Amino acid sequence: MRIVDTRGQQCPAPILAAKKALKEVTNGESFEVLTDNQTSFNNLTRFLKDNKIQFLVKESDGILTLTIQKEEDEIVQ
Amino acid sequence: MKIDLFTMVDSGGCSAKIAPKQLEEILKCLPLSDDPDILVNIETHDDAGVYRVNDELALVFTTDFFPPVCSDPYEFGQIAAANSISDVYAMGGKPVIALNIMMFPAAKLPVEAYKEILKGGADIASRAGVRIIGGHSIDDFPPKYGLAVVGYIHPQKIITNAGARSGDILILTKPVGTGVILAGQRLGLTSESDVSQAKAFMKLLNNSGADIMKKYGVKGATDITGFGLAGHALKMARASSVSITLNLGRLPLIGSTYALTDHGCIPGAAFRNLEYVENEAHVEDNLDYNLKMIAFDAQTSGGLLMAVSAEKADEVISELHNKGLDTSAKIGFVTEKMDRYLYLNR
Repeated sequence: MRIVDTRGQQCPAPILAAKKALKEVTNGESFEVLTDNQTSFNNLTRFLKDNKIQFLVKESDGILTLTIQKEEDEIVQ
Repeated sequence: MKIDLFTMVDSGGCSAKIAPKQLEEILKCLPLSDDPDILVNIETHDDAGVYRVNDELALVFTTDFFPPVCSDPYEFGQIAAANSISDVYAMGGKPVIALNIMMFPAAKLPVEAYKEILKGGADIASRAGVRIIGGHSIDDFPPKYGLAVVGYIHPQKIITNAGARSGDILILTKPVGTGVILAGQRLGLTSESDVSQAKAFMKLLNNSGADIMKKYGVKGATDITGFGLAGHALKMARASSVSITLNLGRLPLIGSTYALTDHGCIPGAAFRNLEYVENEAHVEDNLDYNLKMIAFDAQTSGGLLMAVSAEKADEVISELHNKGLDTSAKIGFVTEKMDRYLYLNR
């Protein structure tokens, strides 16, 4: 699975990286976005929810991982 | 040594403001004076306070300061000064005197940078007819600069954010996108031309717009800064007890603002502003997500948002265009208060 590591980065860099990955992966494929910044995490999740993109979250040692799945028929705006 | 102020900060200009939701909570603890000569106070979250001296004269009083929005100290001074003075113009006042407010890391930056910031501020102040008569400085990192400005106004001719009336057309005098462009610049995604355009708009005084507002008897206006177009429109709607509809498809944008937003270049301040506004706003179904987020983009030294009676709107637009504000556009309208204060439409 592709991993988009945005640790150490602040907004908007993590959203740019997540959006780039969303456009590049094939429909139905999943990828992970890693962040260690709570604000970036909040903004990322807000961005995903607003765009109705499904994701799961797990946290380990201060690193937040979002597993994002590109829907079969997803059009990324 | 080449001085680069821009790389010293993570977020500069009005993006560095405290989140509006948090600020509103904090300000609740301030007692409001019942002095009848205070004509505008913080209750309506307006651009400046206004104090009546006598029946002919009131003082418009405001301050703004922020961290760098560009690399060059002189240009930073210009932008910070234009931004500070703008609050007086937004109230229909004539700015007269100012004080410098400077936070400067004396051990980290050559004193030349300090001088250049002040020179930039003084040049813009002089263009606005403002005399800088003093100031205050503190050793601090990163640098921050701005002015406290006093203006004159006739007590009967104050333009406030509480003056929008149902039927008015909303006109915006500068394009939007400084927050997105500056964030893009930080990531190396913007062209030189985008950055120059953004800087030119940030340095531009709002004096022509203010003169035209006075000429046409506009009663309601605000300037667009850190809370973004949607945040300031919400404050205007609340203060005026009306609803405001913004037609975001008509929004003039700086350079590649839309394309950058589409790539995901959405600064953190836009999310803070969204959080502040969303409970009192209705977002049209299928509204373009990028346009929506651009409406929340924090502006530095943005344009005037004026509520103009419908029959004068076309004339006001053509006067603004004649004065060189050629991207001025009708971007929304005011109605009686509906379910929400703010409606974000295409």
